[in-house]
Amino acid sequence: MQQNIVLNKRYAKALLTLAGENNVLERSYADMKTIHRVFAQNKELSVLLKSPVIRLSKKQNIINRLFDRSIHPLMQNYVRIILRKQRGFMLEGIALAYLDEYKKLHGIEKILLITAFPMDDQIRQQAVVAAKRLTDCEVEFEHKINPDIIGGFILRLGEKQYNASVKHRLSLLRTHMNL
Amino acid sequence: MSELKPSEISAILRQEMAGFHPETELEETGTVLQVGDGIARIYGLSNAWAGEMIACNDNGLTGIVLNLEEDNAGIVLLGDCRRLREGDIVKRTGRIVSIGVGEGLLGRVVNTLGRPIDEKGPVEGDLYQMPLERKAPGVIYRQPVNEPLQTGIKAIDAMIPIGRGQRELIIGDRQTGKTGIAIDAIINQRENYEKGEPVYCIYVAIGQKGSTVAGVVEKLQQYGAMDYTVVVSATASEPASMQFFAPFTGAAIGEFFRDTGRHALVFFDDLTKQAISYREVSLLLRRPPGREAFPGDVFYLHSRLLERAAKILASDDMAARMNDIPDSIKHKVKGGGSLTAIPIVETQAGDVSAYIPTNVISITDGQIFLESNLFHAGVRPAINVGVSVSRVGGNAQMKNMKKVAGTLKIDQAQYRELEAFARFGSDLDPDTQYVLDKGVRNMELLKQPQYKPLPAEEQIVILYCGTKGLLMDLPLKKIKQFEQEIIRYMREKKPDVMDQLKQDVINGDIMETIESAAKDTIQLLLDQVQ
Repeated sequence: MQQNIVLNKRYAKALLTLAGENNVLERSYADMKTIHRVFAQNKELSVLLKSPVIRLSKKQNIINRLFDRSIHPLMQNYVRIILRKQRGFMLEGIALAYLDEYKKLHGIEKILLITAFPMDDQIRQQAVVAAKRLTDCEVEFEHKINPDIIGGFILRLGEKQYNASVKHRLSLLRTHMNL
Repeated sequence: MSELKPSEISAILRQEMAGFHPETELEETGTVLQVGDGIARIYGLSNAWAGEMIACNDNGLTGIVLNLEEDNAGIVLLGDCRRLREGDIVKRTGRIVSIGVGEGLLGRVVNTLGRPIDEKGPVEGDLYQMPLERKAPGVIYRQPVNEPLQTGIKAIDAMIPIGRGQRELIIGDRQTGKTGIAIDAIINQRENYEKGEPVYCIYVAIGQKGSTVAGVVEKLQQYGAMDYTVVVSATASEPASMQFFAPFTGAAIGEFFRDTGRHALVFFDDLTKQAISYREVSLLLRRPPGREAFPGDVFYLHSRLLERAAKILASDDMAARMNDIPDSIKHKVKGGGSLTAIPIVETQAGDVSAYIPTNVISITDGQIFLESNLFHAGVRPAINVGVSVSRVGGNAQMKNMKKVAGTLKIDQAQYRELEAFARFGSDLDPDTQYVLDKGVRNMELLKQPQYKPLPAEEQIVILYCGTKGLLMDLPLKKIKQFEQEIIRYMREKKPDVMDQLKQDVINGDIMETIESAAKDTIQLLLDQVQ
């Protein structure tokens, strides 16, 4: 997915400039989210676009039928160019890089909270408020459930993480006791 | 099995957990993009330092940042890379790789991370954190080499003397006795240990067979040398990163003794294999290959390692001001310590002009060159005296040894030159014949069995007889016996002279005593023949 970070970033930045010039930033952000979701949910799509056995015209047909109605014409053209350059399989990575670049441009921070159990709405609301206090920027809040951490929570904010999980504490205890 | 009450168990647990306060801190993380062949590429970690330790998971797998690139960091993993997967989260530790060093390490076999691998339980006593990568002491904290380091090998102590703080290379083909010299030199430090002035030894085995390392440890144990020795082992089955960091571990252990005012001797066996592991890691990290596909900084790899060998000024004040002393040992720093480094390099078919041998030759203060044809001709240790040198050891040699063996090297060079000529002609003038006879006897004297290092005074007695030409009447095959006899004679009848020789004294009386002892011994041996 993130095999070619430099290249993904370059494509994403180009699109960001283009979208800015055409005043369709908001729309492009939503479109890219759609594209990313479609690719993330259907791993076969990337495989299909990478396959040299399938003709370009067929790939184009598939993409057209998938996105023609849902995305802005500018984005359609953009996707078409990438397909024509045989880099369709990179679309997912480009979409992800675009979302990152967009957030960077607008000062949006993504916060990921991992807990062992589902949270009720009240705690969730408190978590969002607490998360907002951590940064000055606008916050995009995501919540994941991972029973592996046993209890507690892990809060990830960009590259930083606050690990208050029971699993982590147990491993600290193990190091402390030299087991 | 005795039964434990629940209350006792909880008491033990409480005791064990005393002092454990898990505090959650803000951690800096990265995501694994790619992992394999002992290296991993990490997305994120944008604040990481080069050389920083990275905690890869909760099970203690660590990595070291080697490459910092625009969009990712390349790290080498010190452990099994199958325990890490794509998408895993890794954390910065904010620490440079370091190991715990202390007196408790003596007698132990440890791995590159300083963890014991000899099944003798955890390392006991206080441990001080010493960084693997550390700058060498600056110029003003160093002293010229002036104190001898006796290896107990006649050929080395007489002609290629090594001083404390020196870097002397042992170079030669496979199976020429390189490791043998190292083991003998370690065994010879037993005397210092018993005197209470130990020279701590560190033997770093890089990329060797586990059985070879076990053999070395067994030999050292057998001769009582493990009491003052640490063995660092990175066998061939360990990841390349563990192998190329192993000499740095050895240097870090040596520096602990050096900076606390004691003497240490470290052997790197061998740097060729270390360079090969480094090449492997560098190529996997996509660093550009150079000559023989080694990366451009393979010279720096060895020079920065060997530069850490030093003799520190005797003044404690100056030593305390030394650069880059780790915080953990700041209160223990003393002057007058030394770290002697003996790297070993293996050549292919005697080719010293290959890349790694030329590099290490140019870094070190001299080399001991071993040859396989000498080895097979029965000259053991198989030292080629002609091309072996010690550039600084002369100042450190014992004065009496210098006086006795000063001409030995030139004599032997002359002998070898004439020997080549003498093969053609049969008529030789008496002078030439004398040089040849003396040379061949000296060759015989310089032979020495393995695991039998000699104290300095015994070496001097033996070599005195050789350089003065006292053995001309003795048949060649009697030389070995002569050595034993004269040593026994001197030990039994002239212990005071032996003591004086040990104290670095030489005078006319002593020389006369040795001469008369030699005469008596030769007479005794000749009588036996008839």
